[in-house]
Amino acid sequence: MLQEIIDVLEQYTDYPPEEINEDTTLIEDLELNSFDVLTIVSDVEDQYGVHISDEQIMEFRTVGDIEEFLEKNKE
Amino acid sequence: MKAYPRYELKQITDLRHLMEMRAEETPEETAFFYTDDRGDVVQVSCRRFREDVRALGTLFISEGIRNRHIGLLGSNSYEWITAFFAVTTTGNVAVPLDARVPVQDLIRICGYGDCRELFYSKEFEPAVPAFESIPDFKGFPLESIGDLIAKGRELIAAGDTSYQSFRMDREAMCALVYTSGTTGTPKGVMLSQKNIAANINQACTNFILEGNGMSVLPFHHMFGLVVGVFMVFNYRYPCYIVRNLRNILKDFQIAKPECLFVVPMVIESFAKQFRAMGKRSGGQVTPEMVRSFTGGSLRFIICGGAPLQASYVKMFRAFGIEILNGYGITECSPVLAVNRNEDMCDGSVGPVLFGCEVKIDEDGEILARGDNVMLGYYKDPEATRQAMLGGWFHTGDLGRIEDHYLFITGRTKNLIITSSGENISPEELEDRLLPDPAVAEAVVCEDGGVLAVTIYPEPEAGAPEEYFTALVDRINQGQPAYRKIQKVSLRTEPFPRNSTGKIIRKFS
Repeated sequence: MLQEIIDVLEQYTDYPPEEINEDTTLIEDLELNSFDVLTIVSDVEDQYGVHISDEQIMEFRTVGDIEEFLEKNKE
Repeated sequence: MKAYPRYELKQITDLRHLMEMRAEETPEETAFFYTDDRGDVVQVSCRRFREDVRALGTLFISEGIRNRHIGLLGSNSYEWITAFFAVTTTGNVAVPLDARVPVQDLIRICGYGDCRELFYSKEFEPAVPAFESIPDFKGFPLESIGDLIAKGRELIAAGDTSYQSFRMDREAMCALVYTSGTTGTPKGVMLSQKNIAANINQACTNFILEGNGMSVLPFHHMFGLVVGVFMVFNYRYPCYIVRNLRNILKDFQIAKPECLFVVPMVIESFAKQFRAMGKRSGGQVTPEMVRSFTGGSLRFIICGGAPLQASYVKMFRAFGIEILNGYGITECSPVLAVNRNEDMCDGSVGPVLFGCEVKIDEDGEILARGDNVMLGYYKDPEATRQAMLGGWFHTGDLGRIEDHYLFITGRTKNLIITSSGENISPEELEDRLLPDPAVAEAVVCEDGGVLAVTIYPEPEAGAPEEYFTALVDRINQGQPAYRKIQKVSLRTEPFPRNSTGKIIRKFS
């Protein structure tokens, strides 16, 4: 699952994909803004059939946070 | 300067005049449209909008609701706009609230603003009991506004004409809008119907809209509300209400906007989405892809709230979309200058609006005068006096005018402006850290697009680095993304100070 999330993130950022891991932060490292995170997580949401609330999305700090949430909540 | 006359639109005197005029001229045309929770597109005609506002306003008058400060808390919706119109045209004051800030801060703002009544959207229902600490507090769900409108309609059907005959004072406060103050205490900007109407008239003569508008920015920002909604309504084009940014692609296909009104963060994000589209197609993004993404009609993006990197203007121009940078401030209701459809200068925020005076003082500060300038700061005569010295509003921004274009060059005030157009007072965040016994000094600044804090630890406390990261995590809790401190660093010496003992912030 981590790789699939990285594949999506990689489309939106200049950050080298081989260096993206669980600890990579969305805002500081990948230089995404809150609107980017909302859009990207909505993409991932469709892929996994999971609904993620706006409040939850705003709590995601790292790539690992998204992975952990999806692992726990995927259908 | 080339001859380029201003656009001529009928002048409005206030929001009720605007609403009545549209309902008389084009009753069946769409005023607003949006996608509801079931995914159905709802169209609201000018006639229906007037009926809803009249009904709600009639109910307010019949219930003796007058001179009240009424909070509006919720995501963008038709109901929010209806409530704003009804509140502000019946001698009451709307207090738009930022739905992303923690509940305790909202309660504090309601306290400053003497706001005891609140319209809230359903996602805030769990927070409503906390507001009951406000004496005589009453809350109304925005989603149930239809019930209030139905009651108002019954009154009108029984012959109540109090709304139409109500004599509104156009020069009295009708909106109280809180912005970050430089001292850490938010300031309440008092705006009148005259202020708002003046700014709609002024801005509509600088820029002309010739298709649908799409409102993207939150309504508690005057840019999102006055420009993104009221101006579009005044242009006699339908305004599509984006209720949640995560559905923006679907929204574009429905709204088919000719123009968007956004802050730089939205443009930066679109640029990344375009790039992702290109990558998914195995090549570069093309103007056709962008055209398809944005609904096929997008020609202009008006950008304000914060400076935008010049590279985006060129990038979007190559896609056939002209970004017109503008400049405004809540205290001016809010627009002061904007690049025009056929009169633009890259790097500038465009010509000053017709009907609004702007000058640069000897220190380089931008000063403004005109009917769009606020009444003052609520219950803060000293701040009002300082802001209005010599009869001119002091914006706190530095600029220059060259060949009739205004350029923004810096700030006199210690405020951080994020790419989402949020004004953040660093002192307000520092004040949350300083009570900690391990913190001797703290300075918050913007670094690479995010908030960063540098802390000088209390030497005797001897706390390890992790202590400060955990401390910042704690104060970040519950804060909206734009107010979260993302970087923490420590320094080994106290900050340098100036002769009056203030920290010299540039050393942070």
